Order: sequence, then structure tokens, then C-alpha cells
Amino acid sequence: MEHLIQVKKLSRDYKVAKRDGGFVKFMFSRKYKVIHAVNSIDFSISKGELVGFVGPNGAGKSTTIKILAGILSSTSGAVFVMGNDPFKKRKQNAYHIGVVFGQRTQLWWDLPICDTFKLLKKLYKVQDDIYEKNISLFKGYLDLESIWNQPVRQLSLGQRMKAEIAAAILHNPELLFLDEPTIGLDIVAKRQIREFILKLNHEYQTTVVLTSHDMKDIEEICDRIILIDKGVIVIDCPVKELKHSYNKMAIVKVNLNEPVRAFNITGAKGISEANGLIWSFEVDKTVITTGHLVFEISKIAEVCDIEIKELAVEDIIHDIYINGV
Amino acid sequence: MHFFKITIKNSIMYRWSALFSIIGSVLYIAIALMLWRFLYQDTPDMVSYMTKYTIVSNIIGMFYARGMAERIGGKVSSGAFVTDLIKPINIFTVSWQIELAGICSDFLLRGLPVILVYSPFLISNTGYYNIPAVLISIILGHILFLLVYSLLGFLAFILIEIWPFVRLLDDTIRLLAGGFIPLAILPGFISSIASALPFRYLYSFPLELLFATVDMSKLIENYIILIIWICLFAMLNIFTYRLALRKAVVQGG
Amino acid sequence: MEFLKIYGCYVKMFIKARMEYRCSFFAGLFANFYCYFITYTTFWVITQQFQTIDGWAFDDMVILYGLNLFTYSVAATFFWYNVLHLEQEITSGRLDGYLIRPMGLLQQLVCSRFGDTALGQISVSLIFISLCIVRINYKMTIFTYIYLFFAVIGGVLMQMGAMIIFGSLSFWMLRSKALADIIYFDFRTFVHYPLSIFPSFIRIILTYVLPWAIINYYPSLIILQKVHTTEEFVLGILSPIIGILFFMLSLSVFNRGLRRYSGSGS
Repeated sequence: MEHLIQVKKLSRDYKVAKRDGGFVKFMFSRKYKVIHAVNSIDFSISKGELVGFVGPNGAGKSTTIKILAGILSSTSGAVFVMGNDPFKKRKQNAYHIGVVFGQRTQLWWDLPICDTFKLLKKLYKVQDDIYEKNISLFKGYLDLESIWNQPVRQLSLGQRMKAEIAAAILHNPELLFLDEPTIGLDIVAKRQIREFILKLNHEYQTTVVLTSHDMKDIEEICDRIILIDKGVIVIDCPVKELKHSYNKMAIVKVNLNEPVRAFNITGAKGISEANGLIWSFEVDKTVITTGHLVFEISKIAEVCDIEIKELAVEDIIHDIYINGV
Repeated sequence: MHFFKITIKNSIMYRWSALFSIIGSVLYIAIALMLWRFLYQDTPDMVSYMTKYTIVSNIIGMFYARGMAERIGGKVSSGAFVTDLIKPINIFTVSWQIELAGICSDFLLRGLPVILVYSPFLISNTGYYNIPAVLISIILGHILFLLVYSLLGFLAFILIEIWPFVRLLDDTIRLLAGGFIPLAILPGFISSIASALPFRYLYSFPLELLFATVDMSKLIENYIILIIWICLFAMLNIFTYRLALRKAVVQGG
Repeated sequence: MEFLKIYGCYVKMFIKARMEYRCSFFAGLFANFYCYFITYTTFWVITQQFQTIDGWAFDDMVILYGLNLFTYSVAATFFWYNVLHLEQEITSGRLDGYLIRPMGLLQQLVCSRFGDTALGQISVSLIFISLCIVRINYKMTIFTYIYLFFAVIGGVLMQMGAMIIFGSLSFWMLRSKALADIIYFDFRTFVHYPLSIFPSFIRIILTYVLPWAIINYYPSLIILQKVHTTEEFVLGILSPIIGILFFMLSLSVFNRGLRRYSGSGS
């Protein structure tokens, strides 16, 4: 298998009890409704890729990740992770997979970090030299030195997340699943973790599958984005391409020296504040460039300050969530 | 209509837990009844007595505030009760009110059904006396129980984790208060310890009152001793509360 | 076996970590010790007053109750926290975290929390049983000692099996703990006493429906030479085997439940 992960026509259904039909019916007969959490999706991921899984809540991302990790079985379709059916060969694959769940801990709650790592070393059969090398890596890049002897339950969220990530890669997994790894963290911790993941990918070619609601994570880390909505893959393309194709719009905000009542520039819809002194324009870049817009504005009034905002991935995704592709 | 359905569905879920706890209590009493019935099989009077004793003892137990220690202890060890000082409430009275509410709902959901199940036994075995005195005794017993456990709760400022001590207290009361085994049956030295401790007022005293006529002066004497114990524990509570407060405030909460 | 090595390593680390809160650790142990000490005292008080409970003297009661308590506490050190309370692991979502590791789920649940507080119960039951055996040694033969050993193992397996089964219920229903409280804990209270004092339908239920009597009642009959019927003898002798079978049954219930959880069983 050239691809590390290969998914063909994968489906996962859930049976949910139907709650209509009145109270008595509910007690005595159960009708089921089938929900297609994942509906016949296809994709493949190669070694070393950094993929972001995005989608509204309930779209099917966590279900897909769980199937890839071997926690959940599929209803139909073919899934291959490192050449194996992840559900059937769960334990074998587990030696080569690392998972970080942002919202729950997988560490031993009562033990200090140092002991947790010793246990994981035994569990994953990590060799001594690799173990030592990784430990010094963690202490260096993730600031684990200062909390080395503290029990997990005494750590702050940021410290715990760093420990979780370290724990997930202690055994040098080829594949790393990150489910909301930066949730609730401060900006310094977020940046540290993002840099660490990129470094990991660069040094060890670790394949990373990242789920996050923080689009900055996706933007900074991933080179490919897969958007799932209602169980179906809606977008599967490189992040750059997404920005490029959706980047038709920009926002230009100008502060003027004298108030202007109205502008009439094609391709730019303006809204004024402060009685015409400040104007915000929604610019259609296929019609007019931002530079040209400013030129047109300055023909009418002197511009003393400009702010140009390109659409970030977050705005693009928000737009898609609301309006569809 | 929708709300009504949801409320019914919720109360059905809730009712399963209530049903389970009713079954638990019924079983507990049944085992004790069968045990005494066997042990006293040659003396039917004693069987009758122990049947009444066991059932009423369990009913009395329903009126004691079991969660008081944990409720107070949790707030004390976390220091939260200091922040509560800003509000115009008192940790003791609030915990007491919550416990009283719990007792009421527990009585309605569990107590009444259990009493119903065992009412034939209660009715067929007559001989109940001094009911007003018994009720007073139960109320005083409730207060004593409350104060003993709240003292433990306040001690959380030293002990931090109080669950082991709550258990120690629970088990001591189990043996020495006369709830399961009447104090008259306890052998010599255990019996003297039990008489010296205040716990006999929780079960043994009201039960003795209920099943036999009693002499007025003895009754008054016992009430006085009980009230003295209550005052003692009340003072200990106040003292420990002040200590806990001082420690928490000094620490910064 | 590797699992034992990892488990041993974990227990060592856990105790070391617990020892930082030395007072609370020992307080917990003592509380458990005291609790069951009081229970033994209760039996003693009753036998003082009535001489015997249907022919069971205090020493007999110590064996009867001791078998129950000891086997329960040994099983509890492994399974009480995260297997019997599997409900909490599922609702908190921690179960998924176990499933991504290269070790069986049940083994991981055992590894995730060592039941240190059960050590209090183990010590109190061991002390009482040992002292008692010294006193009744004249009645015991080599055969009795060998049988006692296997009966204890069988009992431990049954208690473990019960904890696994009731924990596994949370794969199918909410509030499985409440059900376990009644069927496992409350009903097992019957076997604190010799079943002969109860109406016979109780003994039948506790043998063939909820087999808690096989943990301690029938083995006690054999050890204390109180066997009166063939049925009692057979059940007593076979108790280790029944224990093994029950344990295996519990494992298959657990696996069934796990398959349902991962969606391939429903």
C-alpha cells in the first residue's frame, strides 16, 4: 500500500430510537431510525502528510477518526491503516499510532509525569536509547522539565496537554491523531504545540491527522484540509488552494481626512461610520484590486489610514458552514 | 403537552433509582427479620418484639441527616466556605436545610413504600407506648446526629479527607447505638461503652420508649443527659468552626 | 507475563505516590479495617448471646464470613474501581483513550487504578481467619487445607466475575451500578449468615440464580464438616470449577459488551 491511510466508500450508521408516536408507543415498541454518520466517503493520506479534518459539530469527523484509530467499526466500505483493517488489527496498529484527545486525559491521574512515561515505555516496548532521546526532546521543546515530578492531577491545562502530546509520541508512532489538541490553551502554549508538531513532521515524517475548531491550528500546521459535513466529504484540497479559490473577497477600511457622503466604485460596496470619516469596503477582487480601490478613493478624499484584511481560513470555513460550497 | 411527556419520562428514570433503593431497604430489613425470627424461634414474644424493633429502627434511621459531614467537609477542605461568608448565609444552616429536604424526599420515595410493605408486621404486633415522648426523642436525636457529623465536617480543616472518619463514626454507631442489635444483648464491657456514649439516644432510647411503659423520672433524667450531650456538641461545633475559619482566612482560602 | 510486569510496576509507583499522603492512605486502610472488624464483632455478640446460630459457633462464622470478605477484597483490589464503575469510564469518554493502546481493555482497566483501600479488608479477614484456623486446627486435615486453598481461588474468581459482569452492564444500560448494588451487594448480605436459617427458597435462589452461596457457604460446609446432603457436598467440591466457569462467562459478557460499544455487535 503506497498510502498510509486508504478509505473507500466508508459508511458508518447508527440506529436511533424513534421518539415520535406518543408516550405509550415509546414504552412498548421501538422503531428505529438509521442515521448515516459517515456516508460512503473516499480519501487517502500518504506518509508525512499533515491533514486537517474540519466540519461542524456532528458532521462525522470524530466518527471517522475513531474508525481510523480502530475504536469504532465501520458499517460498510473498506478502510486500511498501515495496510491493516484498523478495527481488526487494533492492537498491532496501536504500536504505531499515537492519539491525543483534547478534552480527556489518557494519563494515569495519580502518578507523576516521570512515572507515567516509564509505564508507557514498558507498555509500548520502547527501547532505552529511543526513550532517552525522546525524553530530552520533550524536556527541551515542551517545557516538561519543570513539571517532571508532579502528579498529572496537579497540572494546569496547558501543562497537561503538553504532557499528553509527549505521551502520545513517546513510542515514535508513524501516525498521529490529534483531536482538539489546543482547546482551552493560552496563545503561548498553542504556538509551542504547533511548532512542535511541525518539527515532529519535519524530523520523523510523522503523518498527522488533526481535528480542530481553531482554524489557526489548521492554517499553521496543515498542508491539506478535508471538510466533512453531514457525513460527506465536501472539500478535500491543499490549504493553499482553498485560500486561493475562496480569496475573491477582501475588506478594506479607510480613515479619511474629510467626510464623504457616498462612494460609487464598482466592485466595492462601502459602509460608512463616524459620519463619513471612516469607510469599510467589501471588495470583489475579480472586479477591482485593493490597490486600485485606494487609488479611486484618494481621487475623492485624502486617505490618512488604511487597513486591508484578507479572508482567513476561518472566514472561508464559516462561510461554507452557513452557505454551503 | 411536550413538557408533560418529558416530565413523565424523567420521573420514570428517577423512579427506577427510587425502586432500586426501596428494594435495597426491604431486603436489608427482611434479612434482619429472618435472622431474629430464627434466633428467637423458641420465644414468640421476642420474635414479635424484635420484628417491631427492627422495622421501627429502620424508620427512625430515615430521619437522620446522613450527608451532613461530607457537605460541610467538602466546603471546608476546599476553603469554599470562606467565600460563602460574603453571602448572608451560614454553612451549617444551609447544609441542614439541604439535608432536611433530602430527608423529606427520601422519606416520600423510599420510606413510605418500605413502611407500607412492612405495615402488616407493625400492625399485627401491638404494644406501642409513649408516642409523643418518642417523637421528641427522635427530634432531639436528629439534632444530636446533625451536630456530631457537622463537627466531623468542620474538622476537615485538619483532616482534609474525612471519608475514613465518617466511616469510623458510621460503623461505631452501627454497633453501639442499638439500631441493629438491642443494647440489652451486648455483652458486659461493650454494653458499658455503649451506655457511656451518646449514640444510644439515636436508636436504643426511642425504641425502648416505644415498646414499654416508662417511669417519668427516668424519662426526664434521660432527656436531660441527651440535652447536655447536645449542648456539648454544639459548643464543640462552634469552637471548631472558629478554628477552621481562622485557618482558612489566614491561608487565604 | 508482560502484563504482570507492567501491573507490578504500576502498583509500585501508585503506592509510592499514595505515600505522599501518608495520613490519608493509612486512615483509609484503618477505616476499612475497622468497618469489618465491627462486623465480626457483631457476629461475636450474637454468638455470645445465643451460643450458636443454627449450630454455627463464632469460629464457624469467622470462616463463613471470612471466605466472603477475603475473596471480595482480593477481587476488589483489581476490579472495584474501574471495572465495577465502568459506567464512569464510559460517560467520561476515557474508554476511547484505553482503546488506542496496545493492551487489552480489561487489563488496562485493572491497571488504571489499584484498589489500595481494599487492603484494609484483606488484612482484617486474614487476621481473623488465621487466628480461627489455629483454634480449629484439630478439625482440619491435609485435604481440608488443600481444599481451602482451591475454594478461596474459586471464590476470588467468582467475585471477580461478578464485578466484571455488573461493570459490563454499563455497555448496555445506564445506572448499572444501582442494579449491581441490589443484586450483587444487597443479596450477597444473605450469605453473611448460614443459609439454613432462612426459608429454603432463599438458599435455592442464592445457589442457582445468584450464585453467591457458592463463594462461601458450601465451601464452609465442607471445611467445617457440616455437610448434610449430597447436593451440598457436590456444590462445595465443585466450587473452584464453578468459579472458573463463572469467570470465563464474565469475560465473554465483557467482550460482548465491548463489541456493542464499538458498534459491531448491535
